[in-house]
Amino acid sequence: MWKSGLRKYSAAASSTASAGNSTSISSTLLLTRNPVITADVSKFEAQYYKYQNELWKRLMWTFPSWFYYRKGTISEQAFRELNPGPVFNNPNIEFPRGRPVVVHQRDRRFKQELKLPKTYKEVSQEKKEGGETAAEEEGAKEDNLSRQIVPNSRITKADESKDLASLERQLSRTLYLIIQENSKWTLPTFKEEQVAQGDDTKDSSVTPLHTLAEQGLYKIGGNSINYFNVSNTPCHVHKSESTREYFIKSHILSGRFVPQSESIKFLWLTKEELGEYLEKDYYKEIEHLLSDI
Amino acid sequence: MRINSVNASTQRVVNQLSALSASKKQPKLLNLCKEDLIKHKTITNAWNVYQRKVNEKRHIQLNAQYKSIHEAMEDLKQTSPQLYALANKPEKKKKFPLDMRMPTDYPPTKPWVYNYEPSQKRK
Repeated sequence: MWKSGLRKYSAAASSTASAGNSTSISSTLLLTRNPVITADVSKFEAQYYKYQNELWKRLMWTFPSWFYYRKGTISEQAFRELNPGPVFNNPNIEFPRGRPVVVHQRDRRFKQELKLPKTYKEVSQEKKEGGETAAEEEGAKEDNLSRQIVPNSRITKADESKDLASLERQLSRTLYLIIQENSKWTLPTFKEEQVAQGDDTKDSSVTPLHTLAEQGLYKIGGNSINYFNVSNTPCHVHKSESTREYFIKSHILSGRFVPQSESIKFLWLTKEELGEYLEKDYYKEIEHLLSDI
Repeated sequence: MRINSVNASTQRVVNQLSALSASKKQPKLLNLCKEDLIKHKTITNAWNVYQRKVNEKRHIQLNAQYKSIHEAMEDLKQTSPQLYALANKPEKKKKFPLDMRMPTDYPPTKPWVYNYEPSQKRK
């Protein structure tokens, strides 16, 4: 049964292939650099998360300090010095905003704010002492496990210098590769015949779309690109009368795009920036393929 | 000093249980006044509206993406059945790349790995 199906299919293939010979097929590569850091939160989101966080803190149980700091130890003393107890319910004092309800060194009406003893000096302290000594200490601290952890900046050098060709720009956004060969910025597009002529060792006469895109990418961007092809299936088609451009999605994982000829320029752009570089109608057509984040 | 002192191991268990249990550690019940309650409800409503908008937008985009995949495949079937067959081929050995990195809150010291060498097999 499957054999007959195959025969039927191949017969149909030969009949339509001859008809569709006039259209030139090309595969367009939508090469993305996925975000390295989490998306920026909008102002409203940040406010809502802050509100929820405060509610959560207010409803949190008292910190069992006696469990973590045994009585009579030095660490317990350090903790106690950092966290003086709240005002107790003194019957001789009048509290106009309600009497305190203190249990386990915490006023049960409010959230509990704790300061934990640190193994390192606070940054503000270091600055007060003087820049030079602080810098020296930092150098020595590199392999010190109890050093203060300072997160890297979410804005990189590439952002500051507005280097559009850098892979390190806009870390929180998805970047897309566009190239310029003859005074026009486009997504990298590779025609079927061009590559098929190049390697005639293959058994089949056609190159699959994703292979076509891969070969084309190595041809213009060099071999040192580690990429992951999402699917062999094209995700979009850009039609005109005699041309068909099929879109193939891939992610760049490491390596870099090195233009193989001097005429090629390339940029890594976000969705909004693509709108400025690509033709308006073309951008509108492919807008839904691009990620907002 | 306590008169009825227990031995050390029992004391430790008691200590652990006191850290786990809710007794004396729960805060006072949150009693919002009417105004605060209305504020809270407004905030929650605004958040729900916002989420709905985000989800709708995502839904529309996903639908459009699906539609364009479908369109592309239908078109490919007409234009080149050979390529259509190749594009439909199941990718059984494909694995999720281990080099792919999940986004973190702050970037690593070197945000991007540049020194990638292609394996011999691929060349």
